[in-house]
Amino acid sequence: MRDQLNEIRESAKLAIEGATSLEELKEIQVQYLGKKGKLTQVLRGMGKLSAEERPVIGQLANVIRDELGEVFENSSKALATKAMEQKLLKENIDVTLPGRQMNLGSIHPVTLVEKRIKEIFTQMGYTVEEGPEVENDYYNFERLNLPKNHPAREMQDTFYISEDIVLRTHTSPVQARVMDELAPHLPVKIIAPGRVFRRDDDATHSPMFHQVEGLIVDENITFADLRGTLLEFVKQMFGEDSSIRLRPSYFPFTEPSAEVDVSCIFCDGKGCRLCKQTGWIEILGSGMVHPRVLEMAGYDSEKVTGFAFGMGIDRIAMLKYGIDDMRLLFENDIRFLKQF
Amino acid sequence: MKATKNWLRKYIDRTFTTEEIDVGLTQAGIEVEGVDDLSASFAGVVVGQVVEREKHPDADRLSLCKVDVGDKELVQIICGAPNCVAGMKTPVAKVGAVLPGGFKIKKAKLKGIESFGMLCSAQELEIDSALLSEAEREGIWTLPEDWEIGVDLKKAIGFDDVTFELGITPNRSDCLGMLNVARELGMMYEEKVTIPEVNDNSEDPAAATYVSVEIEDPELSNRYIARIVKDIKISPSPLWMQKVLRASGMRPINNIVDITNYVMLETGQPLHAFDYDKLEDKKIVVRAAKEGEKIETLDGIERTLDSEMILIVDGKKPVAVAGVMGGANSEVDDSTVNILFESAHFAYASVRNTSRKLGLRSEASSRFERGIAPEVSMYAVNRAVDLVEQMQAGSAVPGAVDAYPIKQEKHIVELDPARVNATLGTDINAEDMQSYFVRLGFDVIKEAGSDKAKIDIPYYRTDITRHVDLIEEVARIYGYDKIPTTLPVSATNTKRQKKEITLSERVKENLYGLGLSEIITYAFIHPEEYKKLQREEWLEKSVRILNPLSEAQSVMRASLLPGILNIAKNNIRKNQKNLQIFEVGKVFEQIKANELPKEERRVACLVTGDKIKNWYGYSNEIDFFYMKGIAETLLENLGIEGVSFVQNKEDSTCHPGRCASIMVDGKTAGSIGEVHPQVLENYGIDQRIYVMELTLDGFEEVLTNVKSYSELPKYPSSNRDIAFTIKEDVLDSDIMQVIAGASSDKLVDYRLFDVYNGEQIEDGYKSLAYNLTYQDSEKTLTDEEVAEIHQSIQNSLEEKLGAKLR
Ligand SMILES: [Zn+2]
Repeated sequence: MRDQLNEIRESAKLAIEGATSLEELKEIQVQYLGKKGKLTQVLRGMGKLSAEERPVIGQLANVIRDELGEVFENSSKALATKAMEQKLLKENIDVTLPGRQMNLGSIHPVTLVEKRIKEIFTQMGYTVEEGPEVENDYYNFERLNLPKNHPAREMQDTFYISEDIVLRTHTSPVQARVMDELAPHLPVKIIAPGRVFRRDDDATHSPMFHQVEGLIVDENITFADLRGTLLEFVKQMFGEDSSIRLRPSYFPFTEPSAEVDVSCIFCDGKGCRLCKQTGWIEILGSGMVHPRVLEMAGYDSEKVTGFAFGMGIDRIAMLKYGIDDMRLLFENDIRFLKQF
Repeated sequence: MKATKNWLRKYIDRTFTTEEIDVGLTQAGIEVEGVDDLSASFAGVVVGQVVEREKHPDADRLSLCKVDVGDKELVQIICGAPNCVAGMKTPVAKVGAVLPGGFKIKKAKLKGIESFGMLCSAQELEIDSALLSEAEREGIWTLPEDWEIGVDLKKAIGFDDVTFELGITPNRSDCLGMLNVARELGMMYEEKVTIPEVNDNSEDPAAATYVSVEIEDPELSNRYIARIVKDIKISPSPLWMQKVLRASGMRPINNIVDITNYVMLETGQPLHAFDYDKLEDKKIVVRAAKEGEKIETLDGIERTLDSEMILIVDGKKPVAVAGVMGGANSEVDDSTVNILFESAHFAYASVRNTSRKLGLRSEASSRFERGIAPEVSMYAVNRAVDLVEQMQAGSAVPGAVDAYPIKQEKHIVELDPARVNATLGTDINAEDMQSYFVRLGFDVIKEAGSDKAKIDIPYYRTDITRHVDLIEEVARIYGYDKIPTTLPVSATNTKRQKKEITLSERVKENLYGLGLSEIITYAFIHPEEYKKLQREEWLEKSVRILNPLSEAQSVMRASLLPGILNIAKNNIRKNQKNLQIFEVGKVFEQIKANELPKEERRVACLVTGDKIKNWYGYSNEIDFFYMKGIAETLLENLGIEGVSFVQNKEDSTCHPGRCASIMVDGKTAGSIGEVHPQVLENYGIDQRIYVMELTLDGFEEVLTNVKSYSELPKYPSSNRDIAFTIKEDVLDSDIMQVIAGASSDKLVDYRLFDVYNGEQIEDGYKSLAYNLTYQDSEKTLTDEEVAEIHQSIQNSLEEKLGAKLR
């Protein structure tokens, strides 16, 4: 019996070594160590053994069982590792092939800049307002202190729908509309983005473009507040190192009025082609709300003041992204759009 | 408006640098649009005289000249110009001179004879042809006989100067006169400004014996002054005047014309000179023109007038179109003996319209259009008469005939320093503030025991009438850049953000996420677009622009489709054939004439070509269902419920078999479809295009829908498939309806997963397979319960739609 057991041990070891797959190994395991396996079959004859031999053979059988178990274990590990290696080898791919493309959308640069402007001002507590694109002469001009035949109307070439209806030439009529809605409530603190139209078409002018209007009306609003607000805006829009320069100017609906330049973002104010060597680039017009405009809206111009500003979104987008021809914005070449 | 350095020097005794003038005027609020150093254009050119001239021995066309250039010896120069004659004065570029464009003059040999320089034409010196008479444009430039030989030409013609192109804002029309530009500059640098004094004998009755003036309607003109000058001697004006005129861009003509131009540039008041003897009734009448009335203007063209134009009549005939151009019949010429100077004020809107209609915009009309202070008119005419006398070009009749129906208002405004500081956010003391007005040359009347002072506003500053105008003066003189920077302490406005804006933003974000690119197109389109879309009926409700830039931009869009289709076309032409684009914008509809049109916010999407370019195979062409998937996802993400797609065969822009109306709660909210092949042909597009257009108005409320969590199912669900054949024309939406109608609330989801109509399927039939999901929130459904519901759905499909189960 001892010989039988030793023979099982040897043949099992041989069989295990010869196994080439995990499945084969499993079969061998069942064949030798299973319920009906060779080892069990031999041990069935234990009853015929003497009492002295029985524990000795029993112990030998256990040793062989453990020994084979260990061999099976090791072998199965080795085979598993090998199988894994083969699998991995087989699944080799060219990782330099392009990935499965996701469709990438894009947002128009004008919208991106408009969004940023809205974020900056909503953080400062402004709400966003809107008005019609086809506007009454009354709101577009008269309420902004520009009566009919006022010479300043010449500053903006206007598209007319009828004698009293125009395509709005600026977003400023929203000022009057919002004040009408709110007066005498204080404060008024809004921005109004939107499309505007002027009869002008060349590399730097488009007959349609985008503006953002800003308006604040309250007690004790000062010109210093206007400067501070605009400085804060350009720092957030163009970077912490940006500065502003205000030049006296004229708009019928503000007084005092100022054109506002930002330090050139291309040369940091040193002077370059884009800023015509001045170090400054004009980005917006602004001023203290003209008392007439407040009065027409029903505010007491002795008690409340305000400031207003208006900027061209397209122009800021061109500056921000280095776009040198305004027409690119409206050509909508997909290769242009996909860059944003 | 041009200012020149040399001219400004006449009023301020200080030699400013170009930089100082630029900065000073900018800070005063006068935009310097350009600076032109006239002396930079050429160098080394002097006034010379051709002393001898003979033919070149070997070339008939060339002249061999001996030229006096003010040096000890005459210079030998060969010239090719036919007008080269002995005795003439002409510009001479000496050896070493540099002409415009950097062209250097060297010693040269022409047909064997040496030439030491060049006689120049005005063109070679790049003199603006507007500054030259016709004769001066021909050949070498013939200079006036009295010009001094050897003088630097730049000096002689006034080009030793720097000009500043100024952008004058509408409120400061006073700065259309050099005097007031000088006042601004003097104020900025605290320099004294000397205003030329004039003789004012306007009260003398003598003039009234020569002429009378009548203004028919003060609305047309609120001041008209006439002054008479006798015994006129027409001749060239003095060199100093010619120089500043030329530097300012005006061609010197003769003493009288030059004086009117000079005084206009100096004071801003345009003047006109009539030949007094050509005025028939010696009676100036200012009246509205009659419709169709005619006058021949100075340029020899007969003009037909309308009733909005203002006419100057001599009692019998029209003699000038007011503010725009004089008549040929009263023109000053070489035989003129007596003249009448007109210094007047006309309704600026009329002058503006008239100059536009007649196509006659001039330095004078543009000044009338901006509106000048009527009080300036007397100073200006007196200045002109003084200049005539100084030049001994005539003798003035004392007195002025002055029709002045509406006297200019005088303003005295009280300065309240506390209020100025409160508005500016500054802390400027009252005395400093008052001193600013002294610098401006205004009278300041202090009030005892108070910071306040009365400021006497000079007549020429028509822009200052109330306190806020004083605030502006203080701000610009103090310096904008010295004003502090603070942030307003205002509370946030309580008004909520407009939902329409948020909705647009959400739509853009969603479509961006779905792989579409945003475009922005013009809101105006060509009316032909509607024809191309097969939607000519839309033209009727479209808003038309009265004065479009072109027909291509003459109608406000009634749909976003023309814009997006044109962008697709342009991209496809550039070989960009795979496009997924969208636009959010307004469309316009005329509801009632003379009322604001209806503006509706919409979104349009367009997809065409391949979804994505790939290397791993399978057909990737965009189809209707790709477009529909975008629409469904967008609507779902926005939270718009009750959406259905209903086949629409009536939409003429779309393929009749591939078009649906997008319905929300039973109302049409938009459309989706493949673009009709005819429409594609109209646009010149040769690939299939899918579009969608959806209104966003009315959906703002979905943004306020609060999402609430619903409990996750506790009990497992069971899935059953159902497959059947059915007639091909049965719509999926019908089947969905039957399934939904036949099931209880235990059916929680159903999904089409296969459509097949190939082999093994009877002609005219299709095979469909759905996966249905059953679930109960209270318990686990037994197989029997599921089978029962499933069976009832099967029965319904068989009974109602004739489905055959497979
Ligand atoms: Zn720069």
